[in-house]
Amino acid sequence: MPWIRDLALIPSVAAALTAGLLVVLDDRRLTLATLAAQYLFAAWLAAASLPPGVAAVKLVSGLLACIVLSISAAALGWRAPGERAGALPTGHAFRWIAVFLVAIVAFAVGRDGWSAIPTLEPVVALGAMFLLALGMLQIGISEDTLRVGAGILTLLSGFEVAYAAVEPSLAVVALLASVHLGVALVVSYLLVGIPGASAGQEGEG
Amino acid sequence: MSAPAVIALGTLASAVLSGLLRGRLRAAAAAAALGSASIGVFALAVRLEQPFLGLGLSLKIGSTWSLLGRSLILDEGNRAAVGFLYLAAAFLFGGSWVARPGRYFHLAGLAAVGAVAASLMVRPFLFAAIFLELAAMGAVLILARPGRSSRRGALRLLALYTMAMLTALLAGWRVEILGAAGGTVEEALQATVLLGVGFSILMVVPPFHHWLPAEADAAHPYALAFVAILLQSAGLFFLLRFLDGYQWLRDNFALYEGVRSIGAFMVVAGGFMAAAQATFSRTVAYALIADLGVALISIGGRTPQGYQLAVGLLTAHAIGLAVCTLGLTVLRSRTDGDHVAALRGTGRKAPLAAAAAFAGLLSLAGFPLTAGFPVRWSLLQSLESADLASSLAILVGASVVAASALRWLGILIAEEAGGETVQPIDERIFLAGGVFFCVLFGTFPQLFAGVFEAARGFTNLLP
Repeated sequence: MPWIRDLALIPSVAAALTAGLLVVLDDRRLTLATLAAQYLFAAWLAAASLPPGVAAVKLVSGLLACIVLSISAAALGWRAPGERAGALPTGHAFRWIAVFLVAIVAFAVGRDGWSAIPTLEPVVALGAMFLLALGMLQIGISEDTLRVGAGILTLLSGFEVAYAAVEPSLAVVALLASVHLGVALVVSYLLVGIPGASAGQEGEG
Repeated sequence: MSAPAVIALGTLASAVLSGLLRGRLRAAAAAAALGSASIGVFALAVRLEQPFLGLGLSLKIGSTWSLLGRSLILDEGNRAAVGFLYLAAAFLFGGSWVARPGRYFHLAGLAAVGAVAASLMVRPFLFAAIFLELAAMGAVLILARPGRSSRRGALRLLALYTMAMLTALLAGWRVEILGAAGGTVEEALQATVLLGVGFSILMVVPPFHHWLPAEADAAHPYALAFVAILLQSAGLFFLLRFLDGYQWLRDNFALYEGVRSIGAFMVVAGGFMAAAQATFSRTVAYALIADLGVALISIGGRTPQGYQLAVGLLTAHAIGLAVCTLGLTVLRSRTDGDHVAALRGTGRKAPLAAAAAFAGLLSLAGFPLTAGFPVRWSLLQSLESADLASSLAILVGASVVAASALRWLGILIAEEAGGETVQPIDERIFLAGGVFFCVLFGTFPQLFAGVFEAARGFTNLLP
């Protein structure tokens, strides 16, 4: 559908905003709602390279991953853990500045598209770059299990948006969807599967 | 029926059975070991695409299993590697009889082994990266044990393997485009850099090694040994498949030189870091990094013998690490940790466990008369004077790790109050058997001949 490509700037910017918010937000409910919204925009971006029905598989698997994480977060009472002594400096100001700087770098790198993948629309490439860069930032500066999990899922989403232009086969879509669900299940297990990991006591030694 | 389907169903059945037996850890260990060994023997012995009589019926086992437009193929090129993988897993599951690494160790372990086997059989083989990610998820479940508070190492492992999957998929795509010819220099460089990053993560090359020491602090030692052996075997076979598949990669001398240099760095740095640690499990983790460095030097030699020795090192590595962590597990069960103060004198209470931990660490160092020695010796002979720096690095690394093993022996047998405690008979049998295996492979190097067969499928690397 041509309008998906024509309006690709909307999900591209929205993906950047949601990925940035994921780095900054502390509230677990908002984090998971933002992650779900991010999946919607990532699927929209992937639909520029894939048939909409196939791109919808990414959305469905992503939403399932969010549901899995939500169940675990609800079991923990939704509260984020306290900061570990000696942990990385992750105050709000630090995270906002980091998001701003990384987003600028992502924009500079991705604005002209990727010459290595000529079939990828420049606007879509920009969205993928935002997701990749901010996902890596999230993984790099977070120690909380759920936040690192969200970072990994963001990174995967960004990669899939770009990779869809390279390898649009159903097998790859299915396998990568299973990776999303697998990551969500593993993160959930790490969150609640360990006795003593209750809300606010999630020590990250 | 196809062989990959039989392997998948066998793995599933063994995993389900060991999962159902999770409340009885010894039964689960036996089920997982027997199931894994049976699948390994099947992979090695099955007659593919040839009719044979079984149960009074004419049967034929195919080699290809098609799934969602992709294929899993067991052929002469990979059956030895798949067999090796399952037999190594059976050896490790057997040791869990005593080590007791957790209720879900066997279930998650078999799932991870199945994913690695699928990565060896899948076509096109760049999809192997996705199966390696699934194996890493199984590894995280193995490492996350009840009662521990830290998940940093497990999360790092998951994040790193996800990045490895992404870079390997991209590299695979670039390599497929370049094909046999290799394209322009710039295109080949891009693909090589992507491959380098992916394999650096898979082979625990610093700075992508942080998950290993972090998990050494938190995870069950035997579970960590299982994960390390499984994931590094998968990474090594994946690397060999890439090298086997593309002539232009094999012709890239700079790549091989880089691999050798990184290997030499890992051997020396890993050795010295091992010597500087205050806990036994961290010493083992860094000795493991040094050991992996030797495997990289072996591959970097760019000789058929070097590729075979790298696979042989995997076996020595599996024996040494399993025996060492088995001994450590028993020692830790008698103390409140594995730091110097906690382990002081424990060797007098549990001498066999101390002997196993010591022998395993010596094997990781490559000390004479242990399993790690023959392959290192062959490697040193093959390097000769052609690569003096790598030879020196291996010798320095081995000496430093062996020295730290002696230091730990001194701590373990230090004079302390309290005499020898009674060890259960099965514990003694497993520990003595482990030490025996270490010495057996060190004394009779010809036992490695069968292991080298696991590399025979790489027909371009081993013409």
